[in-house]
Amino acid sequence: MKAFQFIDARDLRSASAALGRDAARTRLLAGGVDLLSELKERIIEPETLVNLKTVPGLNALRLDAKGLTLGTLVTLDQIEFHQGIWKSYTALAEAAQSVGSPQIRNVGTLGGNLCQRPRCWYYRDESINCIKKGGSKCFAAEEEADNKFNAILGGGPSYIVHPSDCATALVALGAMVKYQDARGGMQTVPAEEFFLLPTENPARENVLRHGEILTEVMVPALAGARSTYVKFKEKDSFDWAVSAVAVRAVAAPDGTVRDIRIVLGGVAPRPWRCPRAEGMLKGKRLSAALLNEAAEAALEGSKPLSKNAYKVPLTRVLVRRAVNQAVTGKQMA
Amino acid sequence: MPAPEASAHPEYAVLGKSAPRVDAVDKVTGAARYGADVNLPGQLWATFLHSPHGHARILRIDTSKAEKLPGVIRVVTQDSLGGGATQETLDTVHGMRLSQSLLATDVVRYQGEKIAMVCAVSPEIARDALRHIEVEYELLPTVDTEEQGIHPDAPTIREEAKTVDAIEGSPWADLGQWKNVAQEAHFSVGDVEAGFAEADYIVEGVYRIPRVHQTYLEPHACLARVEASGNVTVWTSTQSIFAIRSGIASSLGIPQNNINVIGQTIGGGFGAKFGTLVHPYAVLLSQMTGRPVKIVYTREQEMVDGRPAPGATIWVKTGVKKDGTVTARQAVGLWDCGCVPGASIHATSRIIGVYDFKNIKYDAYGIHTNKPGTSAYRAPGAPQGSYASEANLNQCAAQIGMDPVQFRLMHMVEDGEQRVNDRKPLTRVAFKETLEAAAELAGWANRSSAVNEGWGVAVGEWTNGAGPGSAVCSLGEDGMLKVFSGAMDITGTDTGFAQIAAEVMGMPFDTVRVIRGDTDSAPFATGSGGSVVLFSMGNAVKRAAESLREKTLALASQHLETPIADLEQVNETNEQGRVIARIRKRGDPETSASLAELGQMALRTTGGPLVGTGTFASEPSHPVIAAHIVKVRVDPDTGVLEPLELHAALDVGFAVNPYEVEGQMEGGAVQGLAWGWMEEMQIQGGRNVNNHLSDYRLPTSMDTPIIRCKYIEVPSENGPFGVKGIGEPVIVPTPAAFHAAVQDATGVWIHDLPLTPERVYFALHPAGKD
Repeated sequence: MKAFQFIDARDLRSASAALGRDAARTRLLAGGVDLLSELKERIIEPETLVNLKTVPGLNALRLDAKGLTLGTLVTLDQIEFHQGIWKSYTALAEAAQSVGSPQIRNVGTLGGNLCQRPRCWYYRDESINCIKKGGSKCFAAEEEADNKFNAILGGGPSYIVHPSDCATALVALGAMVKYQDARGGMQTVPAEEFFLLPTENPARENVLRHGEILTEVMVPALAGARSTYVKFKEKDSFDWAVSAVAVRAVAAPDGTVRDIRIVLGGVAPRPWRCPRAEGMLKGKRLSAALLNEAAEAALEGSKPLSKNAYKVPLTRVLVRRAVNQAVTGKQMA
Repeated sequence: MPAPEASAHPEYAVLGKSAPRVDAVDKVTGAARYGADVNLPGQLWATFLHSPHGHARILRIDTSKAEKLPGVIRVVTQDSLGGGATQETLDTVHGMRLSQSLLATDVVRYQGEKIAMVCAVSPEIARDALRHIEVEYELLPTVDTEEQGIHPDAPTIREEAKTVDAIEGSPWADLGQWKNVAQEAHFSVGDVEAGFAEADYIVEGVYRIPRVHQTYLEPHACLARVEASGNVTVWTSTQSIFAIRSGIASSLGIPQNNINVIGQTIGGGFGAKFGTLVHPYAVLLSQMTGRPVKIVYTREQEMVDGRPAPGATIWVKTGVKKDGTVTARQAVGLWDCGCVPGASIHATSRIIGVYDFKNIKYDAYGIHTNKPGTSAYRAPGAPQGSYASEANLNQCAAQIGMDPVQFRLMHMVEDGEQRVNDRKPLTRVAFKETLEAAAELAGWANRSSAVNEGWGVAVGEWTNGAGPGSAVCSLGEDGMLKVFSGAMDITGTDTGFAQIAAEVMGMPFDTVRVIRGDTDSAPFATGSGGSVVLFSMGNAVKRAAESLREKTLALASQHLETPIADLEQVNETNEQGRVIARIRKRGDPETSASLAELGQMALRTTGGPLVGTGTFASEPSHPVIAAHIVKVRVDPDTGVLEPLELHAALDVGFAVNPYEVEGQMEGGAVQGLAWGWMEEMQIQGGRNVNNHLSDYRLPTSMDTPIIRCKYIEVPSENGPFGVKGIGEPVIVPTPAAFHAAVQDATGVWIHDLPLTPERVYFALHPAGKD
């Protein structure tokens, strides 16, 4: 790792000022889990790190009738062990609990989880100058590439998948994301719009420009809602999602779906909403046939790369299971 | 985990008991010093420029910019060394010597091959300097797999490799000839064609098992200091300080006696830390700079420039009759040896197994690929060869509708019988007893499976090696015992040494200390691998303790004026509350001397200090098997496999320390399971894509099933107290047992390991439909 200067930020404004304009030279530090691995691998080589953890007030967690408010420095561990979040925002608790290992969740922050960089092994290889690092092509998209973990939806010109578990859950929960913009003003956007597709900017995964700082996430309360996050990984710890599905649903006592949001993770460069599948389910009661149709619809338009066709049927299964869980509160038989 | 059912061994005071590990406190408190923990004032750091390409011609290397960087002391290429410098590796596992140029010259043959080395005042500067070395490459086509490698149109990786005629009847016969053959081995006994003609069924398959990395937690690390006298000191983590010494000596032409290798605590080796990998380079740079030089590999360096276990593609064909008679077996093994010879291709012989099969033919080849050479990994070659053999036997049993345990028992050999490749009839083997023990442990006869669950069984054989070594036991004036040798402890053998010495001397376990010498101070000790240590060095320790005991008793006899036959030894508690040993006249407790008194007394006699030495060269052992039974559950919608239970049985000869035995049995089973289930070095286009532990999937404790262990003890003839080597057999059967369980759960044989969810899913849904 290259030597760097370390600055403790006093407040958001000084953090922003210290970050300056050049992303190659300065980086923001929160939990540091992903940042440290990028530094070690020399994917990035900043001269200065700006420590956000010294800014007071960014780790507040508030749960009331209106909803849930989480400061950007709230750790995944705090979310995982919060009874109220488990009760009312289950998908988020499940997502937080599924990240990495206890050690990682102890220091990893919600803001860092949402802003972590892709796990694509071509991106993570120092010697490869891929399109995310300013190069001209996506190596994962090549026919001979090992792209088992890359995108089947929304890919091009980069085929990364968004690595954040919490992002998928928060989009399903209709969360809002608040950040300080480059001019020092506060902006709020729906989580769904916070994340970008590579067509908008292949170098970034979200709307934040250098110097802008994610400060807070707000999740609105929704009466009668039940949510779940179903993550598929190849081993039980230390693994990212091969595919994941977050669902938030409101069901009538007779089982009729009143409202539903279905979001896919691990399959697209950003959390992937499935509006047509949601529309098919609204106003209806679940049946095996309807679940199958909705799962088909959720994956429509998917275009597997050379070695990730498995993700399509896998994700359909996860959609069926997650929808059933969120609507009925029961696991599929 | 339940403790193994230890037979109590009332005849022993210390042996057969689960004594605590002598290194436990140092390891759990962080006090143990590993390879990277040694530093010297003024030391420099070195690292390597590794090839980013799997196969390329080097057109130009320009190091001039790197040399000018502040803090860079030296940049070295093969040209600047004078061309002829080689790394000589003595491969003790395969009994061969390998000679390679220290750095690449004209062609690189794997991603990770060392092209240049940089020595600088800090590791950061050394690493920075790599970017300033300019190399121009002409890319060459790559070979990723052994099956690509044999193709007549495949790129040539080494000019000296052979092209051989294809074996008729094999799946690759149509190619006519096979290219890129680095090494070959052939065996034939009886008449396989006649045997196949007699069979009711022919059961054949191509079994693929991937290249895996030993993934020791501690990467290679070494610090070298060359003094003005030319004397060399090396601190490193290794399985054999003596192999490192001879490797450096022959690589750099330094007299062996001028080299001292100091072994640090080892953070795992599993066979990969026998020979030199980074050591001659550190010594060479220290010679050049006159300063100590340190090299510590990163995980990525380990993954691209380590020496992993070879993958293999093995075709097995078996003729079987309806009554279970096996009429013939044939195999062709293609082993991925990487860019140099050295894979354990002889393990294709595993089709003989522990059975009475008569007509056998196999042909085995090491095939060049654009990957680093391979090295040992816990029972080198055995898991790969046994996977193919045992998986095929499970298919045979299924074909004739016979229980796979019964099918094996029907063919297993016993004492007095001889297999087609044994030189002599077998003695002290317990194949049937071991398999029966596993079956009993698992409740095999009455096993039940819910929907989507299945059971599988397999056995794996290993015979421990033996190697020369010597140990010294000395009794101090405090009445405490020191055991001194040059053996490296990779599996808890230091604790075993302490137990053996304590038992022989009749002393409490905690009055024994095990001291590791360096190559300057310690007599030769065989390397720690091949399941040899407790068998060989344990014998040396036993003999040293016996010699010391004789001398101690002689002194006591003289001092107490009592014949040795009338002396007895008792343990008593002294004023400090410690249990110490005392020798006294039988029937006359007053005529006695504590071991401390004898230790002091010895210094005042003409005999001098009480020291015993023991040596051991080599004596034969007996083959053992590990038998594994696995229960697995499949999710047919996603292809996910969940191992539910693993039952393991093993013939250990004699269990010096039951907990250590259980640790070996569990560790081996987890490694074997991982090989069948999730581990695989993924190399595409000559590029290693999963070279981080985040992408190279290893199971954690959350993934592993309940493991139940049962060992049986059929004492060996020559091992100390009947010890047989146990470190290696325990990994051998697991991939095949897992493979069979998956078939039982899914109804489908999937021969390509690892059995990832994706592979299982597509096997269950061939059209890709859910």
